[in-house]
Amino acid sequence: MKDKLLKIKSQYEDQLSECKTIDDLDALKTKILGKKGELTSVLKDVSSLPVEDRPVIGKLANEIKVALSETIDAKRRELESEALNHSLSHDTTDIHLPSFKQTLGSRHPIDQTIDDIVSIFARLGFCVKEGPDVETDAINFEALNIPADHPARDMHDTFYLKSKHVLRTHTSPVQIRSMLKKKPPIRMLAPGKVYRCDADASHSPVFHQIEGLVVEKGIHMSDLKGTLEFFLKSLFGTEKKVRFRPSYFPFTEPSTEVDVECVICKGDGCSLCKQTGWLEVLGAGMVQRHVFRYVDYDPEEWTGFAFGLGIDRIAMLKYGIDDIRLLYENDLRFLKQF
Amino acid sequence: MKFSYKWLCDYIDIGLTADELADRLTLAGHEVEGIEHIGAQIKGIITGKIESITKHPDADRLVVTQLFDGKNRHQIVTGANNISEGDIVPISLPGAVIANGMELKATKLRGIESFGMLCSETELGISDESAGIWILPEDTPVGVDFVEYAQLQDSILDVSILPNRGDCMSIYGLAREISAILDIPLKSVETSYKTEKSDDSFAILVESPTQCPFYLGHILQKVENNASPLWMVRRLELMGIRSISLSVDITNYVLLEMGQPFHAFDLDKLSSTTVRVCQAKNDQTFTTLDEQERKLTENDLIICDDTKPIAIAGVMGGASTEVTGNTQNIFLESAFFDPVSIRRTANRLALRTESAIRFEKTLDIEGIHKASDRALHLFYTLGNATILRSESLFKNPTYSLYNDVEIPFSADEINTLLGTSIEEKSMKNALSRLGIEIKSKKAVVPSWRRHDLEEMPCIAEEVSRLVGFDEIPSTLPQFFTLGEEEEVLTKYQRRLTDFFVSNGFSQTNTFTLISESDIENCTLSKAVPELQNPLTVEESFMRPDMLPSLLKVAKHNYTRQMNNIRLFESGNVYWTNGDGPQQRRVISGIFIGDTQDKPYTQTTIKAASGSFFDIKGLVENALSALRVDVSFDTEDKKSYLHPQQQAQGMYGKDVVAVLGKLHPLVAKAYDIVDDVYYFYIEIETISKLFIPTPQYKSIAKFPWTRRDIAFLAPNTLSYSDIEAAIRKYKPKLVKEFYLFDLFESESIGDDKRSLGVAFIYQNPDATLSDDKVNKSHDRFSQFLLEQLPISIR
Repeated sequence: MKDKLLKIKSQYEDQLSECKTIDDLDALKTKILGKKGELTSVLKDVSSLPVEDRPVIGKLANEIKVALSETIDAKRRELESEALNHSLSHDTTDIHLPSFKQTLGSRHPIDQTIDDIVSIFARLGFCVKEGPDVETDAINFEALNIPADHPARDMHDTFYLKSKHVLRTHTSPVQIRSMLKKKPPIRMLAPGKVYRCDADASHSPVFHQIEGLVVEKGIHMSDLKGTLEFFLKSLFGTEKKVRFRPSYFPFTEPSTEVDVECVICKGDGCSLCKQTGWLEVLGAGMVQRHVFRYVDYDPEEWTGFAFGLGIDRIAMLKYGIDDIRLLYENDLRFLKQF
Repeated sequence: MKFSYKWLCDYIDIGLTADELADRLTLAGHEVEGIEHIGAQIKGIITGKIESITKHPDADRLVVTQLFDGKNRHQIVTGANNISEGDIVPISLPGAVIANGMELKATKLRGIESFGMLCSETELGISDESAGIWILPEDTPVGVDFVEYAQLQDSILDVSILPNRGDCMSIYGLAREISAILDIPLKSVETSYKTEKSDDSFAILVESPTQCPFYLGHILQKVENNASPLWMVRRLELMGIRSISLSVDITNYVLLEMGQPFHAFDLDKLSSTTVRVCQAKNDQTFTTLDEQERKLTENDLIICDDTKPIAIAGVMGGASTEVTGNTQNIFLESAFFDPVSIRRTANRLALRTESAIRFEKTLDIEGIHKASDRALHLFYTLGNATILRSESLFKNPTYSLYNDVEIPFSADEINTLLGTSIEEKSMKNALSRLGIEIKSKKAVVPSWRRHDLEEMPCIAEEVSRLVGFDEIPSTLPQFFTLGEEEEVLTKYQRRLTDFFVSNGFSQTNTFTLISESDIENCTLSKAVPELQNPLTVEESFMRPDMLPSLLKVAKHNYTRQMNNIRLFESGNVYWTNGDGPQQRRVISGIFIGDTQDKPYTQTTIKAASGSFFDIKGLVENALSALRVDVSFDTEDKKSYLHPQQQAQGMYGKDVVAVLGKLHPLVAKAYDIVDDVYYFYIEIETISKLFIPTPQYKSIAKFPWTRRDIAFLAPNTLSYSDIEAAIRKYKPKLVKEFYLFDLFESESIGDDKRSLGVAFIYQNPDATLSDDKVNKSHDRFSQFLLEQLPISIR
């Protein structure tokens, strides 16, 4: 009996290992473990053995049953896996065919540049404020210490509306609106469209500026310098030299224009920088006391600085755009490059 | 403004090259925009007198000249034919270099030796063309260094003079500024002349003493009409002014040199010895010396004799009293006119003369005498004028600029503003170089800066300018500001920008200005702000809607073979109402063509073609991104959209979006024949809505089960009515319902359509039994059949 059992085990283990299909395996399983299977019938015969042999043979028979069942299960997993691998290997796709996708849009270089600038200043706690581009003469000029008949109006070729309003000539009026709205401290940015009626090949009647304003207690001109150096070095690269020149704006005093080392010639002089080695990028200064008086801030208590820069020029420098009109033509072959 | 470097050197020993000076000026706030080096290479040119001219033995077109330079004689062969014996001409001897860089050598021309060249103006870099050899005035000395004598070499600095620095709009004024910057003393101005004792003078009657606080007149007699000296002609030319006659040249020369405009009247053409300064009358006409008849207003200041106006004060003189080549007697005016008055008149008449642009920047009211003395000196020395001693003078001593300007001075305050620690001594030194003296803790401003400097920061600016901005350290504001908040509009705009870019839209940036025909083509309202001074008719109105701007861009691309166009922009739109011009921000988009990028299989091609429902879904999703639950109606229709394929998105009573297919006639006006879809989202309106922060609701733990209703409905029954009925009558257990099938066919009839709606039943607190769902659903289906004109399919 014992021999018979061992023989069944060794015989079927060999046969199982040679099984090629699930069907073969199932047939073999029936042959061994089915109701009329060889092992099943041996197990049935255990009861006819002498009492003293039963436990030993019974145990052996069970062990063999478990072992064969496990072998069958393992073989089944192996065959199933082979079958799946076989079918997957025939389920081919040319993955090099074009994808199904919606075209991706693009962001206008002006908007991306505004974002770049805003995010640099955001690190210093500046927040964006909005203001209208149809302005009153009072806020666009007078509040900024540019009264009617002031020669500084020559710096602004102004579009007037028939209603006597103006299209803002700079983003500086947003300073005034912000200060009229709340008391200091203020740290704001105002990007937006501005208008000048002097279009030619290098000027567009509509273009973009970004304005910045800080009003706090004890702001010094050195803070203006540090802030703008931080900004320009973040934007153009820390190795770029920055230069502050005295200048004049009616709404700041002292006033400065800020140059950055030419991005093309690195200071040697080229046609972009008109051989000076410098590119003028910013106008800035300490807020003029008359501006504070207009918005009812006490100039003895508060000081601040303001700055403004042309976004179009920065965008053109950054992306190597050589004609300002490209920015407003909105040709998709242009837009999609950014 | 252009400045001659050599001329500046008349008043200051600069000790720097023109290029070095340019850098110093730029860093002190006078930006030099360009430097032109005139005749940089020229050297060795002298003057010579032609003693004889003989024919060249072997060449018909050449002559042999003998010249004398005061010491030596030179033989020069030339082809020129405008020369005569006795002429004085510029000559370049061997070793000399002419304007184009060519060095002269001794040579033989057809066998005759020639030692140099007779020069034309072109060869000396003075003009682009010249007819022949430059024949110099008879009184030109022989043998002089002509480069120096005729000012052939100079550097012209183009300096951007800031609007508050009218005091630098002259050679002397800029020299004074350079003297402060470089700390080098200024030289004095030669103003000497002799006067003739006489009681003749003019009576000056000033009717507007606030507009003309100072008027000085001089009588000049027997002015000789000599040619202007070469150096004067050259300097005027270098600064861009043509030589006219000695008298005119002198007034122009001193205007450039001292910054003071003058007017010279022909005394014999004046009808009286009274000069009146008064306002013109409205509609009064006056012929200026450019022979133009000008219409005046009562705001214009004029100068009159007792019968007629003789000049528009500070702007331009009149033709009838103009100085000519025959003028012998002159009444010379040097005055101060109110800057605002001059500016208004000059702007209105579009006469921005050299005189007007100086008056409007405010002259040095205390400097007029010196300038007029300089002019008289030149009339005396160059024109042998007899200058009568008695002045004709008016002065209004109460005029504001006659008052001293004193500004409290505190080194601490200045250092605090600048963030510096400059010593008081250095500050005082810098200021005194600028003519600002500190007297008992007060800064006393010189007369030429009185209109400009008024408070401590002005003084701080002057200090920082002179010590240099490099003295200011770089710091960051010390206290971090709290309480600044980003505007909701900005935040929403950024969110939607990202949304539309991900959905295939390219962002444009268009002008806010459109044309009247855009308004008409897009059937828009004309109640929009209109420009008073547009550059072109194309840009003369403010847009009431983004449509024309986007359509123009679409057209640009469409007509350049681009068929799949998706564009969006966040921008302002404008209108006018009783309160004047208004504006608001919208985000707007347009699309033409497929939603997919180059589809190539049957299914994707079918899915790609854009439709009304694409744009509707896009807008719905955009609004969802802002947590705005939108519902659509067709209440207010846009005439520029297809009458049956448009909708407005509502949030409560607010219109938050408009969308639809463009009316084909509007598309056609922009040369587009394909379907165009357009939308705008009222992002500014939305930014002002209260949109609550979503609050978490627990997720249902029990399974849901679905039941459908399929029915036939008349086409006239809108899906929104069906939805409304469902919403009204649906059992509580229905958590969600949606259209899963829409079928239209001839077999149903073309007035009907078949719809299938799925209902999701779910009980948050228990598992639903089939029985319960069936019961509820049957009752609901029955009820719907009764409420709506529908039948079960």
